[in-house]
Amino acid sequence: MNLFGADARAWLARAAALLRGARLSRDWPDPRVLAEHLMAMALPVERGLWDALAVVPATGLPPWTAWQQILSERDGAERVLAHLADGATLAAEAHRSPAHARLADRHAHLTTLCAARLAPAEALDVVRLRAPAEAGAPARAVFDKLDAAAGFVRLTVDLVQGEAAEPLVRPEGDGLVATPALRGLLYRSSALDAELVFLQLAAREGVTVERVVRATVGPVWLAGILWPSDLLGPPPADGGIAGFGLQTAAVDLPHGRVDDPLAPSVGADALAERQAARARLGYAVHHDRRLVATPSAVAAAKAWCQAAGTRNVVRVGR
Amino acid sequence: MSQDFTVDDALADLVQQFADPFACLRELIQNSLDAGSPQVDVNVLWADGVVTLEVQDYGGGMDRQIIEQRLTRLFSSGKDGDLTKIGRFGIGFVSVFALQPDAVVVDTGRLGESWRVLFKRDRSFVRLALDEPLDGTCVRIMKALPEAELPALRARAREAVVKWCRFVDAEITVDGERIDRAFELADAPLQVCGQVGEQDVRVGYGEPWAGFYNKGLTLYEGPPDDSAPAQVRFAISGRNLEHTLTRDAVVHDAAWAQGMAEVKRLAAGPLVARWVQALRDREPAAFELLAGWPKGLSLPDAVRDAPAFTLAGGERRAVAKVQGKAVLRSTRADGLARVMAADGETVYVVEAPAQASALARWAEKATDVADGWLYRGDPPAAASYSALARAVEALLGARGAKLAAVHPVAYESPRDTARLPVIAAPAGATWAARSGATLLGQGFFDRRRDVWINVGHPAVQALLAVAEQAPEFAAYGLVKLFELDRDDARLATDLALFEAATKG
Repeated sequence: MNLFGADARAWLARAAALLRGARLSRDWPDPRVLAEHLMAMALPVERGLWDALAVVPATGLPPWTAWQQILSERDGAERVLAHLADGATLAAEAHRSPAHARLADRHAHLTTLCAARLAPAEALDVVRLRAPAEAGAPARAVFDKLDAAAGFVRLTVDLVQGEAAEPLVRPEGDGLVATPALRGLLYRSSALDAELVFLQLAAREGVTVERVVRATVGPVWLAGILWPSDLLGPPPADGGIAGFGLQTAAVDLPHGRVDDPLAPSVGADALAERQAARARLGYAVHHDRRLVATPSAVAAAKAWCQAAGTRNVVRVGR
Repeated sequence: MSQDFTVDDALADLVQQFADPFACLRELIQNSLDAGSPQVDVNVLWADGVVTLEVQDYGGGMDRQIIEQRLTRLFSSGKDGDLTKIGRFGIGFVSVFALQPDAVVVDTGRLGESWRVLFKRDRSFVRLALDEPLDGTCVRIMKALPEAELPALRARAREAVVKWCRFVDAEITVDGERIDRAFELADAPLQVCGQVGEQDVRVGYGEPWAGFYNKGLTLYEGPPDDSAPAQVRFAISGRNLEHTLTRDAVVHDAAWAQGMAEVKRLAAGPLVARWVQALRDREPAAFELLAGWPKGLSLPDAVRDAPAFTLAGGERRAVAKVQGKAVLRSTRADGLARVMAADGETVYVVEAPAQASALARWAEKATDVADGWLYRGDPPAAASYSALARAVEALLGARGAKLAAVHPVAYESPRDTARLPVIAAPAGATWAARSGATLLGQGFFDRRRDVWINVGHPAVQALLAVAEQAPEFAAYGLVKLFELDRDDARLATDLALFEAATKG
């Protein structure tokens, strides 16, 4: 669906408020940065620099192209601003014609972008997890990706790299760095669930996987815009709910558990294969989803989780 | 379901080793950061005679296994060996008992489990399963406290959090006020930074001081040890730095040695170069540093020989050229300083207070030229002063003074322009400013001298108007002022009377 003008700004403000209220751990991309990134879309769509703002039903957020467009505009913002008059001059001239007004709006938009914190479309950071005395290279990789289908995804992987012809990490100085093999694997796996990522990593030569955490942002449901009444009942006035998925596949989990009312169902054959892998590799899987709801939507969120048989933190947002 | 346990009595001795009981806030925040929380909120609450110190995080939380194996057991931290975490000894949480609380409540959740652990005063605890799902961990330390003591406790709590946690890479709030900030070396306007391995090192000049941090968490702040370079402050942040068990010192291991070696390298090279450049660029901090440099401590050679002080002609002189000498200084590169320089005097221009202080620190004596020197500027149009000048010449001549001529003149030394209406002086462009009475002799061997009427003086301007009607009276007034010594209190009185009489 598409939003226009002031409606788009209002929707963005409501969605950003829910993101800011999330208070998530570092397993997720920083939701406050995402909120800032989101609000950077308000001015261009409200002032007509963008034709419209699309909302993807699966995530309840703008499509990756909108997020990426903000990043691209920021990359060129300083260069463009250097060729424009200052903001006050442009604002004073804005009344002269639509073209003048558009130039003033563009200046304001780019100036905002220069000061905004934006979420990267892709980032990979690797640190040594434990002292080098241990055999192999114990590493933690944190991979952020703006995925075309899943939106913002963060994969956090703890592994030990042993001898291998094509390792995933290699020593550099006192630390460790990612090899192209790790970057490629994580890039291709961002749309997979944590367990499948775990299995892909475990299949690599010399790799012992300890933990894979996959965190996602969304869906964001707002009454009047996108509200799944079949799940949540009738939309409360100004109600909103944001979900933040968290899948953990780890060898130190005492037991597996599903606490995500949106957890994908797995077919019987696939489930049997996974259970065999869990037994063989000694890991368990937990599906969780944190929720932030406006006060008017808290009851609906809790009722939904209860009906799904899951235990979920429902934080009260604005 | 509930179970009772007793925490090992050995904790008591260990807990008492924390010099500041409020250091428990640091331990709790450290635990929160290790749990992956990007934000920690510390609140001091009071109700019904009980104060609650609350530390809320949004990290991974604890399940039953973690509670039993790590939270409540000494020396069983699951962090041991994990380089992504700061804590090592598993004693962080038990430090809350240094506050001698009446109760400690820990609410936490993980993997669908939610728990409340209630510690009693004797450190025994009860673990309760909660119905409501939780994430993160909230620790509440509760203690009976009169309301009057609340402000002091609140201040101490805030002070402890700022001291230990201000540089952590997370949002830290105390009673809603955000206290975290970017890693920095304070009170060192001139500083350089370096990176060695995973350590961020900052070195600057100032009162000797050292700070060591692990992922921004303060390990130690205070005087450096004897191996540190003199007159240097430094801060090292690295996740490989370790604190001692009691958290009051840094372990002197290979990581510490690595950081100290970088401090010495920066202090010996880049920091000196930074100071030299700052002197070249006339940065106030460079001169403040010179001014405050301790007596008996030699300057780095490159600084001593760097162009520091500016002469009236624009040339720069090094500290080494000034050291131990008597010098003249001017607060601005005005005509006086320029002319004195042209006359062969060495005058340093100190346009900023820091430069003046630095010159005073290194020269044996620095005399301000404005205290004793004047500069005769371009002469004003003589015609308008001719009646007054002739009358003055006549009056002084009648008194037998050995007078050459009377000239109008504009002086450029602001202080004396206001103080002396008439000056007798030698013919040179600059001279020690004195009133004319002691210079105009009457004896046979006395030399004839010129007298200069300071046209910038308000009294002269007033007399000029009088001279149009009564030049003799105007000359009388001027010579009277001339006869009074500049330091004579009567000069001020006479000027005031004169001003009142001629007003209007």
